[in-house]
Amino acid sequence: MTAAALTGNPWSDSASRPVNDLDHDLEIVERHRLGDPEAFAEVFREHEETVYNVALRMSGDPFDAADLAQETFLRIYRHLAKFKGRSALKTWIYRVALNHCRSKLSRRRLPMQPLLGPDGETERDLPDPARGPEERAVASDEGRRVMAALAELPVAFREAVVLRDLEGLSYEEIAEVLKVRIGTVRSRIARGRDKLRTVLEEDLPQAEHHEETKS
Amino acid sequence: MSTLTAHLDDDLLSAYVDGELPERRAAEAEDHLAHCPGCQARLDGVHRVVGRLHRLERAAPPPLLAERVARHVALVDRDRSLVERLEARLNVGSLDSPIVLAFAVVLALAVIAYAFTAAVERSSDGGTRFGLAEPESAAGLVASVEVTEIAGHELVRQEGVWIEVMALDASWEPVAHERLAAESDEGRALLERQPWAAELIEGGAAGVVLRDGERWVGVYR
Repeated sequence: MTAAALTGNPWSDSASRPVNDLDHDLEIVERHRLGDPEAFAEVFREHEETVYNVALRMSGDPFDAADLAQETFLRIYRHLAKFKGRSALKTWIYRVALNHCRSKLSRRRLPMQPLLGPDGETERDLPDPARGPEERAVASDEGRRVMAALAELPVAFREAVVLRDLEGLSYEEIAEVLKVRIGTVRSRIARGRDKLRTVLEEDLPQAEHHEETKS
Repeated sequence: MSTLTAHLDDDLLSAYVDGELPERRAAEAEDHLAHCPGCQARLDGVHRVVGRLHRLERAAPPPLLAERVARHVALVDRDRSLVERLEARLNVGSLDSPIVLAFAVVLALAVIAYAFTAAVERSSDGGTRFGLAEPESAAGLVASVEVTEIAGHELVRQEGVWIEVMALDASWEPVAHERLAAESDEGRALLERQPWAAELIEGGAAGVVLRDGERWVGVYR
């Protein structure tokens, strides 16, 4: 596989395909085994946003998330040929991404996104061209607050909440990704949400102000 | 329909919000909630936090992510090719097996030490080089091998590939056997823990780090 082959259009194209189709998954893996560079490009294209968002929610920092996503895809590339199809490729990719985030997060405490910078200015804004500056600032502030609260959760709770509330997985799917029992998933989600509510509602007056601003 | 008399615990409330309760259990919860303002207030709390999480927008990956992944995948391919050449050269099975890998490297070191003990000369950078008395000896294994010492660490160079075997730093937790690009963040971090490796990195050395939990092997060129 050459760099030129990998930097072609397939990588920047965001075409979507069914991601829970096991036959499709196995076909991609087989093509990857046979050396088809387009196979991994398809995996990247289909899962880029998911991997990046999981990394972002786990790390709380867009720059760390980019590194984590990149490293996750390298792991996927190295190990894709060993994928046996015992679960959906999407499940396996979630697992690889979370294992990598967990490993990195346990080695170093990633910096939490600050609500405000030293002079009261927000830092590291991710621009959203679809919104006006004012609306973007309000949404960004609320998003930043929720992200910061999420970053305070223990990793096991954060994983469960991210998979349920941000990725929309069912309890059964989460149990498969995390390789734990459904009762454990239920408990982690409940405890994670409870801690989040406590942290977020300590800041209730501001949150209410935000709601009023929106309406 | 029976009514739950006990208050609903957090797990049950959360699962109720997610529609993850069996039908009968959900009906019981609804029945209880209709008569229990305390549990209803806690349910509202779960709804509020879930609502705030749901309003968190999905982020678009940075445009350069694809390019970065593509570039590193190319490095992985190049490193894989490098290791395959080394495997072929050493005439062993896959270096993915740590036992085979360790055996191959130890064998190479033993043969090199045996074949070149008489041909030592000082290199200009202060390292020790072993010249080749009889390149065809040792079944061709040592055809173009040299050994150099950098800051007390001996590295074997064969056809442009450097090999080094050493114990893992105790602070590194054992992990599964893994191949890391020296240019990757993790590979670089591993190398940067070894001061001698800085010379290789600064000198633009490319290669891989093979790690099997007990030892790691740097392969450079």
